[in-house]
Amino acid sequence: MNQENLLNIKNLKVYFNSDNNIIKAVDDISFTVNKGEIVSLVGESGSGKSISALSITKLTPQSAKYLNGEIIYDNIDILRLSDNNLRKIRGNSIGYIFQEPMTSFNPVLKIKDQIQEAISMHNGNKVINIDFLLSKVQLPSRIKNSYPHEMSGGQLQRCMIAMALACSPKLLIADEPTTALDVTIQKEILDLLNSLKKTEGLSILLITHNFGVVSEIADRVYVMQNGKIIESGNTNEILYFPKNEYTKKLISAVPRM
Amino acid sequence: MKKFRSTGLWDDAFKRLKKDNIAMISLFIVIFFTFLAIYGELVYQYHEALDLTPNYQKTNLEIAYTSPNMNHLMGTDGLGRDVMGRLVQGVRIAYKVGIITSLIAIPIGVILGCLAGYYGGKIDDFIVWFYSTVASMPGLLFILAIAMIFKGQGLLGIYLGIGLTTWVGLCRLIRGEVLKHKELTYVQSAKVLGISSSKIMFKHILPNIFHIIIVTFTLRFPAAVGTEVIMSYLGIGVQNQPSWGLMIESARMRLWQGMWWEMTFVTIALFLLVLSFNLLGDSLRDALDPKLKD
Repeated sequence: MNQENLLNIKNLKVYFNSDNNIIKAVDDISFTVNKGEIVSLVGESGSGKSISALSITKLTPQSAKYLNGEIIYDNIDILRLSDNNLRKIRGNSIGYIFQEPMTSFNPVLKIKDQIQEAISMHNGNKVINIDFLLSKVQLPSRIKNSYPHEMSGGQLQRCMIAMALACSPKLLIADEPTTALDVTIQKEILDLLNSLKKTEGLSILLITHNFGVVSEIADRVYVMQNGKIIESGNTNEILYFPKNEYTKKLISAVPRM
Repeated sequence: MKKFRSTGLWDDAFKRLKKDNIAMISLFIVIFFTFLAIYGELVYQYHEALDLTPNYQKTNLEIAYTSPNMNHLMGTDGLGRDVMGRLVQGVRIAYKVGIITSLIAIPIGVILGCLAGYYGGKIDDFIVWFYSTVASMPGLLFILAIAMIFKGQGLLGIYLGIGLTTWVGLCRLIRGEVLKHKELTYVQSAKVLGISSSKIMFKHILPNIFHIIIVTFTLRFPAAVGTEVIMSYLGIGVQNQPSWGLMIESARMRLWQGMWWEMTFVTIALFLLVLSFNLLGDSLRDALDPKLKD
């Protein structure tokens, strides 16, 4: 596998100032994502994994302060970019998928309009076939004329992936992509992500609390707790020989048949 | 409007509205008044173009104060003019005032509300300060002051007076809704696609809160009509055209002598228009809210 770094985060600190104390949401973390690799950030709710993911394109809430660190994506220093240049990266070379597919679409726009907007945002008038995009995520093309409320959660998550893929990004950040879906659909979505990694050469940063999901597709794992990375390594290493107590607890929390 | 009709939201809203009897009756009354207004405008433009004196302006002192009969279904006023003709012209003026003041007030309220809610910070502080200042002035006096500046220029004073003072309520509502919507996931997912702020505001958030604008319009409309009537009654509104305010004012003089018809019919018309707009607005609020969809 190509070991070139696509994303390199060094000593990143993201703090929030609340009324009289400072909340260290992300506290001095470093990690890398290589090309064509699925890397997973694992941790409980509030461990700072979502804020880490959002900070990659500086989409954190306005009150967030970047105190320290570097985010190097494809040899670009993200933290030094202007808003306009950031917008060119968002959606274009970094795509996002969110946890709640049901609320992630604008309820008054048809699916095709939302996908079309994502495309024309970065490619001008270049015509990209929406049917082809939908077929990549194994959806029938008639779905493009539906409204979000007419579709199921699994279908919407696929549309979300299609939308994220519209501009052929190099990095896909999936923030709990399967949490809101039931187990059989989860499996399908994970298989889809895995096959996209192979066919499109996509790098995926997968954020989850579920080691079941990690064992399914991730190549490497970082375990987060209270804003810090406490353990990292190859998926199999971590799964079978966890060193940290917290990691052991997370692994044992996965339901087994 | 084509865009909105294709969303399917509107078909749903109409289906829900159909089940509501009061709303449907109100809708028919509103449509009826709308046709009267269009008819009034046509009559007015016809006589204007040919430079004729329309019937409702012809004075004939011999038939002054005749009670309702076959020739004059609603009787005549103190100068022998047909009350029904003047009433229809009153609808025309009322609609003009309602629509044009809305066209002034709604864009101001929507744009300022969106900017304040979306950007927050200093912009928000300034806009909140600005509308609080406008709201702190006594409404009717403020309107009268603006109208006095444009006195003698026909309806312009009324349009500007009402239009420039009544956007505050809508601005507050829109600001609050935008504040709420900008935290929702669909806005977040528009942001991660790199969509610009103005597009997010006006293409993504605004259609989702559009029902507020429609409801505000249906509630503002009768309020503006009422204000126009009060202003005309006080003598700084409409001049030389039959407005409901002027008619009520002139009918007041002889009411105690038993000349009841002018006052009665104008009041009924005003009552029906205001009530049906308000009831319709209430029902539309429920029917159009996308959150009540399922």
